[in-house]
Amino acid sequence: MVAAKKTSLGILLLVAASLLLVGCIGQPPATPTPTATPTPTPTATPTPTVSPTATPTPKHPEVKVALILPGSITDMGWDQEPYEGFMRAKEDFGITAEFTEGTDITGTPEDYPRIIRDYIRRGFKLVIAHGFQYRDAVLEAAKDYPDVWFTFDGAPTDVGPNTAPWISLGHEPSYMAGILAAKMTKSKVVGVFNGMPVPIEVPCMEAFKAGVHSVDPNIKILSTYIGLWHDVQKGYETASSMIDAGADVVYGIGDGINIGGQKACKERGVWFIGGTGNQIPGAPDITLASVSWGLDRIIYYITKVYTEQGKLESKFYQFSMHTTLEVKGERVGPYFIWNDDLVKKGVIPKDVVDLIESTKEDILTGILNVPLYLSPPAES
Amino acid sequence: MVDKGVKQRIRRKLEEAEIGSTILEMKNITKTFPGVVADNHVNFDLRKGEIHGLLGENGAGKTVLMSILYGLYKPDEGEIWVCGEKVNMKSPRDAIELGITMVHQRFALVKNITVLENIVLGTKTLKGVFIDEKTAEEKIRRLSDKFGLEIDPHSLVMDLSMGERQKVEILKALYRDSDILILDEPTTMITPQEEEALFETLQKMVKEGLSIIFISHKIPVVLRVTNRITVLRNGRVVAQVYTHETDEKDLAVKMVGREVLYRLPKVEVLRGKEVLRVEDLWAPGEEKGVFSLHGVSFTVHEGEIFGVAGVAGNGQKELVECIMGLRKPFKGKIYINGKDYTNKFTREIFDAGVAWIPDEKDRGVILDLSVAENMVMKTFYKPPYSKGLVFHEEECLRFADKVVREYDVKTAGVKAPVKTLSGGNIQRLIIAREFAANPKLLIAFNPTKGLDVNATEFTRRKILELRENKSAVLLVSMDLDEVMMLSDRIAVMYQGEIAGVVEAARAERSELGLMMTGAKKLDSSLWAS
Amino acid sequence: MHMVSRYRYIFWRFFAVTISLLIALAIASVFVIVAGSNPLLAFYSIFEGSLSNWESFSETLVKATPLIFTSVACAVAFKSNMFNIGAEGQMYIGQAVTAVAALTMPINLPSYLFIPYLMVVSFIGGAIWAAIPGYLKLRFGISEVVTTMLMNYIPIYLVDYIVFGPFYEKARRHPQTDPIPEAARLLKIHHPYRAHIGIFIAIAVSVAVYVFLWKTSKGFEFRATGASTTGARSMGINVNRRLMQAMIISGGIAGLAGFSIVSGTYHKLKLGTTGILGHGFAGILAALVANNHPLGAAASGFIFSVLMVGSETMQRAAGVPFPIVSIVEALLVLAVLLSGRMFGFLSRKVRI
Ligand SMILES: Nc1ncnc2c1ncn2[C@@H]1O[C@H](COP(=O)(O)OP(=O)(O)O)[C@@H](O)[C@H]1O
Ligand SMILES: [Mg+2]
Repeated sequence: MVAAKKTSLGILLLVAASLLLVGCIGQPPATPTPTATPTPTPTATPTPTVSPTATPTPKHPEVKVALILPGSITDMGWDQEPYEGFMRAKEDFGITAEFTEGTDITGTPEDYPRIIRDYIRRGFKLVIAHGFQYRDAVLEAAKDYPDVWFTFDGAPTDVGPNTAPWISLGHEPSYMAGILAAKMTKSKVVGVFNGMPVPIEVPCMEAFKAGVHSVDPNIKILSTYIGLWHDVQKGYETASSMIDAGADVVYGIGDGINIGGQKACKERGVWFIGGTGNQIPGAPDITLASVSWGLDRIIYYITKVYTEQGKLESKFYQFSMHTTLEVKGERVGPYFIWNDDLVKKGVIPKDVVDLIESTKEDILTGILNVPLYLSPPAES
Repeated sequence: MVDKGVKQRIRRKLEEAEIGSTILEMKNITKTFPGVVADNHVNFDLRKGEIHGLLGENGAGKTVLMSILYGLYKPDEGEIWVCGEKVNMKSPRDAIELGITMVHQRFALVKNITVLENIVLGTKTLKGVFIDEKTAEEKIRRLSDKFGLEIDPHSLVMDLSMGERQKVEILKALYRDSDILILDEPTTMITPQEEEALFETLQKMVKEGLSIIFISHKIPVVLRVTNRITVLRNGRVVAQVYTHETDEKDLAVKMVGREVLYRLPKVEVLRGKEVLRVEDLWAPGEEKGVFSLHGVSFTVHEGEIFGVAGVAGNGQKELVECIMGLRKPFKGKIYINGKDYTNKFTREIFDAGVAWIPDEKDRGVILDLSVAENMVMKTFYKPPYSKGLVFHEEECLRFADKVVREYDVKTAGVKAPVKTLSGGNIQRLIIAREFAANPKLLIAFNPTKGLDVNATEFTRRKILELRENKSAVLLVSMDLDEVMMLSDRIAVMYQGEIAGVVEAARAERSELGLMMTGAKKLDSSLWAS
Repeated sequence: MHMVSRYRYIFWRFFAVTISLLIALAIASVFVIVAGSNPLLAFYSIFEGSLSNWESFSETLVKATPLIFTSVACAVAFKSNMFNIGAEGQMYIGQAVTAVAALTMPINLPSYLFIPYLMVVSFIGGAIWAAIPGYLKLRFGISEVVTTMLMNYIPIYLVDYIVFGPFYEKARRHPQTDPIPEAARLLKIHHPYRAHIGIFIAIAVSVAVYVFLWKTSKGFEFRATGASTTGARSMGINVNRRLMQAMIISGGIAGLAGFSIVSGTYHKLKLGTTGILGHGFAGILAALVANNHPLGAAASGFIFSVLMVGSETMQRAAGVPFPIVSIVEALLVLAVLLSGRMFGFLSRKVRI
């Protein structure tokens, strides 16, 4: 009995300690080198500088919009860009805007429905759930609450009377990234990794492969879906094993996993191409380019539509390189970013830059049609 | 406490004091622990050259009183005077420097070093930083010879028997030239032979001018060795007498507060048919590959108490466990009423009409459960306590209420957890439960261990009653007096074997003692059966 | 305790919890203030987000359902002296078994057969998972604390295999299975709230365990074994069998927690649905707080859910950053855990 009591007390303390530990390590994953400044690029916009504490004069306080983010708002990618766009919208339109960050860091899928419903209960009428993982929770809540609008990174089939999924199609800039990788590889092996095969990710993955093989069908492509988004270590391991297998260019699509992947490339001295946001500042000497989905502008745009019209349209909001919509003079949609430094120094040969820029023209003019896959092709 | 000079002066006075003069006085000593007054205004004195018995039941306050003298506890009240000087014992060091040494009930020797090293530990027989072995050994041998404490100074303590360890403790005191020696319950751990030797040593010591305080709860022992006796009861001194002016009965009344029958009347009972038969039983021990039982065989009959004596750790525990189905024998058979019960489940053994009193109380009751729940611990699954799966608590309460009254178990109620009961009342509870079903066979394992006089008497009486009712009793006990008092036949166990079986009526204490130490073994054809 | 009136005991027990929580809140407010939020608003939102209205209450019940199962599961085992700290893994097995059984059902079972069937198989699944460490303990003396702890992790890989492998959803997008048939789902209590009738099953199980332990002869053997294995064995109870059965019942109930998640909450098997303080681990704490009483375990499971759900609201309503939320949550849970000490302290002071 005494022993039992001791054991239970021990377990108790252990659990308590781990609880506190969770509180401490629940911090956002390490952000890329803080000294690096974003390199201005032809299409890139300066990083918006909105202080989150600035309280705007509410012009439409009755408009209540919620944003749910899986990762940390300081991750320079998937979560930070939408957060910044959202905060800009909050200031510009004077709406009530609240957000939840880190649902996949401190929480689990179990929490999604609860978070969504908590906002609904508190009178929020638009819920932006930024991630395909929220799909089930969103669709269920949409059925239960017909007077609330929902949007998330989804697929055309997810459209409902009050659900307006959106997508930023990164397949065209990813195709350009594929050409870049094919031109830069010496070993004729390139790697690409991604989080999960969800609608916003699959097109990039497949288009990248197509881009590589458009240059040289004999190049070997190592590709994988890691199954996670925020695990820096997993990204590091994945990229390392690709490099071990001979890859000398790696295209990483993700946020936390990209930080790890980029780190592995830097350590091993191989080229990296970033995907999701502008990831060049993370390792400017080895990152050739980056594919951004323009998430900040998309979130800003959706919030704007809702504020102006009091609703969204019951449709699939699709953004691509062809999108001509603009907010505050910036085009909404994905884009390709060069690492200007490497271009200027000639590390990336002039002819390669020219080839990719002309491919871009061909895409925009419709001469080139990059294949679009929303889910992985059957054989993979 | 006192400075060196004062200590030396006191020591000189101690040595020079005349035989028979008072050398030590404890005045008005009171010591309380939360909830207990261990000693209540106790006065005690010691004369030079005497053996002063400190007699009292378990918990009377003997050990605490002497621990105060030895500097282990600080009294709440009271003073200690040595040779007319008031002293303040801050730690055992002070006591030792004044020439007072205490040998505890549980010896305080370092087991994996030699006797010599143990003895010189903490003394100043050093040559530089090294122990001056030669001088030390010489002194030890001289003391050994003088007081009859033969022991090899170079053997390891862990290889010694309890009696030998006691010798080392005493040598340690002598080595430090102590004048006053306190022995706390010195006879509980040793065999009768060792007991005799100890008494002789003590006599030699007082002849040399030492003074001895002899703590014990055993009246006959105190009567034998002491000159004067102080009796403690519930922390108070109830008597101080010269040994030659008192007797067993008088002391018992003083110690317990009423008349106790130390010799319980034992009626003739005709031995009936065989109830328990153990045949060539072998059992594994705690260590791998070592047997704790080496072919033990015996029988127990109706109306008979079969006693098993022996020093603890000679296979008694394993024997009892095998019979009770708690340990798997390696080989051999156990029959109860002619049926094979080897390796049966404990509950089946109970169902064969077996009752048992285990030696550890927490095997006989579950302390966290209530009195009522413990009362039905062996029968709860049968009607009327359970019908089908349903457990009827009211039936248990009713039964427990009845039995608690019948057996006079003192408890706050039958719903009180057993851990709130005193040791004696827990024993009553166990006996009440075990005897309620009129067992055919009782296995009693150290049934009076740790009990006070009242509970001991109650237990023994009940065991004898059972015998009169023609039940068979297997009494396994480390208390040789108990075995001799209750048994009809006595077996002695030594190293997992039965060294011999004798009729209790013809048993000699010394002969049993020899068998207990392996010095004598009876031919099995001579065994009483 | 037997001499204290039951009601006074329960009152003081709750009083102790309240005092402990207040102390924890006082400490927590330091963190909240440092993080730049208003502590009063933050703490009010704990209550507001978990109990103050039907929506929140429903969410609390959704959280509480599996947690009550796991805390009762732990209570059964602890009460019988088996330190089953593997409820987490057993729950995952329950989830996997429920989903696979529901998805592979070849015929159209009606709900009143389908649900009992799923309960039985998930129970068996969890029970087997707990029986293995039970066997290792009784046969080879390997500590169940270690084995159950280690066996927590294997089922997570099993679920991983199921959702990426043979039962990967048809759309092949997310690590999850397709939805289980309509008839395999537990009814929702009231539209549009998510709370489902699993909560009633959980409460029923906790009552059933209580009745079993205190009102049956077999239950008596469990309690005796739990109070002292040596004592129970010496008095003829088949201790090994009881210990094994305790593990089986405990694991089975933890398996039911998995059933309630798949059949009641998600209607599919998902990868990694519980976090660092998963239901299995929280169940250990809830059982210990309740002194391993099954009804108390259900109550403390509910209290834990209130704290966890409420402190999430804190992040949104009071703008407390999520690392701070985790710290506050940890402090509150710790307070409930240590309330036993507080109770001891109070009973000495006030002489309850
Ligand atoms: N360290 C202690 N703390 C609390 N109570 C004690 C302590 N030592 C002894 N007692 C209590 O004091 C009383 C006298 O004990 P003790 O002197 O050991 O008795 P004995 O006469 O058997 O040697 C007993 O009731 C015992 O429980
Ligand atoms: Mg004593």
